[in-house]
Amino acid sequence: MLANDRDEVEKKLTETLAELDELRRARHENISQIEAVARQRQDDLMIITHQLQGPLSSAVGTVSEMKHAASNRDWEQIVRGLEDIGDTLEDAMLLCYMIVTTLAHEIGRPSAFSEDLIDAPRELELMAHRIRKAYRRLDLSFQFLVEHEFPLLKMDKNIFKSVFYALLHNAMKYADDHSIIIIECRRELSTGRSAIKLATIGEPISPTEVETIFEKYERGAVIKSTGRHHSGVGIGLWTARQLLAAVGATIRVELAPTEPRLSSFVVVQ
Amino acid sequence: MVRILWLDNDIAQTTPYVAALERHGFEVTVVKTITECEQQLETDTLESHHDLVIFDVMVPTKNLNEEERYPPDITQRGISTGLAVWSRWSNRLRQNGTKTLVLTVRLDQALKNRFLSAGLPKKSFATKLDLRETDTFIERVQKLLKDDGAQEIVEKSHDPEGIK
Repeated sequence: MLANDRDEVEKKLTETLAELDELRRARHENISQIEAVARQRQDDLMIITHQLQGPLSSAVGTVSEMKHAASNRDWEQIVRGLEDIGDTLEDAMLLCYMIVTTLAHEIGRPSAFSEDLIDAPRELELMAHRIRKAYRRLDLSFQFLVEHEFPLLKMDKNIFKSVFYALLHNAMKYADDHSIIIIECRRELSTGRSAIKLATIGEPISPTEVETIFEKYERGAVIKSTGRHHSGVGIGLWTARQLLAAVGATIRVELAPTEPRLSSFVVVQ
Repeated sequence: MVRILWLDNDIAQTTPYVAALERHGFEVTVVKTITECEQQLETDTLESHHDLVIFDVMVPTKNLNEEERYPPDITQRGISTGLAVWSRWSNRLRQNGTKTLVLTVRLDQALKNRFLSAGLPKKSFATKLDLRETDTFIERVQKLLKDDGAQEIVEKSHDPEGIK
């Protein structure tokens, strides 16, 4: 009887120790996973900071060069320098706005938005030309296709500007040399809602990426596998979708079935 | 006229420095792709060559042709393309007497070690933060150009870090 009890206790003890080992292993795996995610986020933070540091260093360079221009009373160079600094600050500000607003929303502190009336074709034309100049993509051209009496867009102006900054910047980053970026503003036939399409010929988007490309920290397949566009973190399109969703708008990708290098982003409000 | 070739895919960021170089009488060619850079270097000879090449480090490869020549595992998916390009051309640069400046936003220590072990002297590195003022940038360029290479030999033979 006593021997049987002892066997039973030993068996239970062995089982308990095995369970404990399993729990230890699981805990260790969880910690490893958390550490891996934390390392990845640190890497992302480093890349975002890196993306800001280069332009800001250059802005300091522009200021120091403007001092020489001022002593020579070279007004043309001063104006050019001021424009460059303005572009750098505008882009840095839009990038910060996108990240801060989206991350604040994620942690349960949503921002207040306004309902501005936006002349979207006009704003997009100004932005497209500004970003093309700022990023020295003068080889690119634009084609604007605007439906007659395209309505004013009712959207928070900061969201509009930061989302289309991200989309236009991406379009210019991935567009083939000397290609045309098509910006189309029309009303959707089925819904009557306003749709703005940016179509680019360049780095292809795989059909399998049509949905995943908007997921947080999802880098495109091209970024993962090649040396092209290494600076991507995977938050531009995610933040664009989050911000648009916050004001009742949507974004989607459209691929051309016969032309794999042609892809479009469509914002619908 | 002193000729400078500058490889940097963020051309907009080079603008004030190019203006400063031109103000000081340098002839500057800025290229944003490896292909353009190599086309420029191909034309260099002992008699007629660039006096200085400025390499950015994180330069994306732009297409399959560039990726065949500089595969993603060699460039660490674009993170160390500048090192790969410099390594391929370093002998010719040395033979022609062309100086090198590695100019990047953040200088990774491991990457610097790889440049050093491939024979690039320590004075050939700077971050964009270090040289953000155009006067400082010009001073550095002029110093590099004046250098006769003696320091490079000393550093190569007495490497305190023992990484060469």
